[in-house]
Amino acid sequence: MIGLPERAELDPAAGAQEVGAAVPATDGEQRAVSDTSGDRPSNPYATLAANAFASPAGDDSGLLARILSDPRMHHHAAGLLSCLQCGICTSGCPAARFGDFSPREISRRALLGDPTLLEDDSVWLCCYCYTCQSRCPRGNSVAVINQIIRGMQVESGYGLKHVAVFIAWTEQFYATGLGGWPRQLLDAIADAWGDRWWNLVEHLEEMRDELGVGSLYPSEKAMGELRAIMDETGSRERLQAAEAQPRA
Amino acid sequence: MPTTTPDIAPITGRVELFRSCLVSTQYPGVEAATKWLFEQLDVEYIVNQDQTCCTGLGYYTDVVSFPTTVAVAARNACVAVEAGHPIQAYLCSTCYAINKKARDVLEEPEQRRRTNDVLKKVGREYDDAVASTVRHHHVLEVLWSRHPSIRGLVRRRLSGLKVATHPACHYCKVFPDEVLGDGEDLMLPEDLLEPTGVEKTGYYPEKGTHCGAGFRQRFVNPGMSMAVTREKLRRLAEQGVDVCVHMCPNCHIQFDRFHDVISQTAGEDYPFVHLHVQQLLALALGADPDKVCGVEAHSQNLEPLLERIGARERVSVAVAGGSEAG
Repeated sequence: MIGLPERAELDPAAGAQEVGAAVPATDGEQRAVSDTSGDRPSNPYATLAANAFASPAGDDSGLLARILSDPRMHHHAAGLLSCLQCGICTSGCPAARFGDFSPREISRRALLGDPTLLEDDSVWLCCYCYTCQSRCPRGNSVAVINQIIRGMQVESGYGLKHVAVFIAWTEQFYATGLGGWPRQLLDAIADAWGDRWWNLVEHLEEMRDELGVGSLYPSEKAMGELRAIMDETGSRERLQAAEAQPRA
Repeated sequence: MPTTTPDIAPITGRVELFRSCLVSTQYPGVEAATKWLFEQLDVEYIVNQDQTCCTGLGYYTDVVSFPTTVAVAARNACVAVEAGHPIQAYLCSTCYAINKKARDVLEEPEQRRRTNDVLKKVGREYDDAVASTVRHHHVLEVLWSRHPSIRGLVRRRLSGLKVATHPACHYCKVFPDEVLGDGEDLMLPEDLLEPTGVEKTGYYPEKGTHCGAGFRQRFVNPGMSMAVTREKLRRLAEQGVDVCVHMCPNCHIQFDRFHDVISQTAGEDYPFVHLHVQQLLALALGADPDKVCGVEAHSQNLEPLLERIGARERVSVAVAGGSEAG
């Protein structure tokens, strides 16, 4: 339970003396999550929340610490720790409005280090529109938390069913250096797009020639470097197990 | 409606027009129109074949890991600096956001060290010199920095044409403090078009709602995806707009390709079309709709609009230096 903050703790001047909130890192050491706002006083709610949630009892799984230590969260860690559960994230979320998803719940469970997040399919409804992040009064980002949790699900194998249909993107990218939506994905939905779409598919290269926009593909040099980077960062190995998964 | 987008100093350095996979494969006219505008407005730029795709679609469909994405971004920054064109100008808002995210992460010594361990394999290093030289701008910011020159270049007045903005989420919401204007009511596209005589729409209900694409959602949750897009189309129709302008190719796909599909399925009329900001601006400055703006790649029929604004009639084109070209 968090008690009401003492008046002194809400005083920005008092808060300024406490630069960071201590949270456990993945290796069990205490590390400081500093307020990233420069000269502004540190956030008293971050301190309170860190004390409340970062105890071993609040993060048995270590999940909260893993989320907080991800580099994508560094500008949002104090925001997560000071989540007020105000719900502004959910109020603006298209997946909450048109689907069964609650960013506010994700934030609450992340703070508790709730390990069931690692087998929760609802995180896959996030649209990555970042409305939650841009409106959060504390600087939290459920969009980023979802990216981290989905990544953990992929790497544990649980989430592979959700990415199986998108493996084609990685394969296309590795083979050609071109992103874009792969034909396998577009063909499944493009029937309704009609003749003008198929005209583009058939005549893209001619259209590009007429527009003078050059080759679709990067240079050979760029391709070689790209493949080396993908190999070095394990891009394809990460997904090999997904090939055998049923499609979600 | 007064202009509210803050003035910025002209972006005068050397620009690398960052190639976008979705622009390249779906709306190549957006790239051609942007190049044409850069030439009219005297922006020194290159297109660099040594640049690769940002990985955005792979990252946001969760098949590409973050370390891969950061390493690719770092490499692209090195390539831009090496070519002497360190201002990366983005056609796509996801390229914009993902490269800025990598920029921030690469400021952390441990992340930079890990990324450079990867780049070492390709003989590159994202060092302080690269970090302090590379710059990240949406193409519309580069154009806005030259906006005082636009008024004198207009060759087709768009008087009476009502234009609304679909603000791209990855421009407005990932780095809200770096948006040119108000991310909840972005006016940059309409303010850029103001000298052409358009009627601006400004704020409208659902303006900040995303396009519905949601990366994976378009493909695996089409019901949710289309529901969002339909809501936006209805709200835009209520405003009586003629053109909804875009600043991100993924949004553009969602609206242009699904506009008629949703209209027919829902039994609702949405009497307007979609164009990229640069396409509409280029048309107003006298660009050819086919050879510069690539309208053939669009799913919607743009001919009524092109007729209305006189874009099927050839005009002489002005250039920033004051001369005229045929």
